[in-house]
Amino acid sequence: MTTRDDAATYFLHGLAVASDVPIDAPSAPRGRAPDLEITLARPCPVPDELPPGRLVAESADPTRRLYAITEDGHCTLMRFPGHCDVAIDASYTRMTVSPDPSADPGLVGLLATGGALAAILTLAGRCVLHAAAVDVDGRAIVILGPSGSGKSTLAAALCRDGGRLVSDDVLVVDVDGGSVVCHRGNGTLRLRPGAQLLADHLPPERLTTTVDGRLGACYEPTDATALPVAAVVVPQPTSELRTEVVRGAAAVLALSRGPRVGGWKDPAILERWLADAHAIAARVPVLTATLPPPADLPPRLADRLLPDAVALP
Amino acid sequence: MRYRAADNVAYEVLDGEAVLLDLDSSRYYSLNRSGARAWQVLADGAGADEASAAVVERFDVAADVASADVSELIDRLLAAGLLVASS
Repeated sequence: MTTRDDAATYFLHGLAVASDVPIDAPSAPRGRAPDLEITLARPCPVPDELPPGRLVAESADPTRRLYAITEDGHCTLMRFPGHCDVAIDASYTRMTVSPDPSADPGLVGLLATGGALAAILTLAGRCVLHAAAVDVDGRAIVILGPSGSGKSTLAAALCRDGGRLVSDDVLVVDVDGGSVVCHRGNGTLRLRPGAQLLADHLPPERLTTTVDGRLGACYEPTDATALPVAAVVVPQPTSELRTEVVRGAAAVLALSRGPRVGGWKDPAILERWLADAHAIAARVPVLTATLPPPADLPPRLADRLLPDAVALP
Repeated sequence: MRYRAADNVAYEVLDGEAVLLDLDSSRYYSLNRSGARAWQVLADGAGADEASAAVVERFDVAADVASADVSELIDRLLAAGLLVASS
């Protein structure tokens, strides 16, 4: 693939990504040809209506549509109403982002490099989790769950203890023989107000305010571009820390709730996701972890999470 | 009567337990070990008697109990559209 000279090329999720939209990730090695290209197009109104074509995926909350993906045989379109349309080419290597004229450019960037990037990678056959991951002694603890479940909080607590950030929100994994490998992604944890005390020790230059109003905490990133997964933890906020290894169907079901982009209607993608969930659960311990509020999270959390996770069934 | 898995169903088995996915509704179902054993036999085209025998062979359960449980499971799977009659 050739790319325009003015687009920066980043390296994340195991890919070189040439992008008009800034991405919070290291630069790709010099001379590395991009695997994926993100182009910013001219603004264009983005209505709430479904785009034409076959509905591939859709997500909504009780009041509004969050996104929809359709395809017409030539092109796939991911629509974030009021924010942007993202056209995805048939080879799943190019995304063209058309922002709504009234959209916040920062939020458009977040959607393009978060949900839309996760969608194109899923369409291309990759397993993309809604997860954060932290490098603890060369192995990744993956924290899986929907928004608000405590992923970034638990990741911040592990980083506070010396872990190094692998990714937040979007995590690409590969099943490699008998193991599962995850790839380094973006470099900032987005913390909700209740979890911000976990970043108190960071110097001011490592703290930002994100476009969605959270605290952006730039913890030390992992040196590794990919590393083996030690365990998958599914957090459940409550009043005390307790972990439980889940096995069999429960483990597969826990993982089945973990795709970064949900609401798929396409049977082939649904079937592949079930196969991926099974493949991960067969190779990596899966734990549920009930978590106390951030202020009560104990130190050395990794020790609490990993000993229970060493033995596969 | 013989059965088979409906065309819109994908499934995986882990540690003897099964997760079934209705690809039309995106709805997941789980089966315990004995249910998963019966499902695997039924999904491959067997009838109730063969499924019951497979459960009795694998688990410590009386034949009449297995037969009743498999019959109830078949009814539920048929009602959910996960299993269809093939003959």
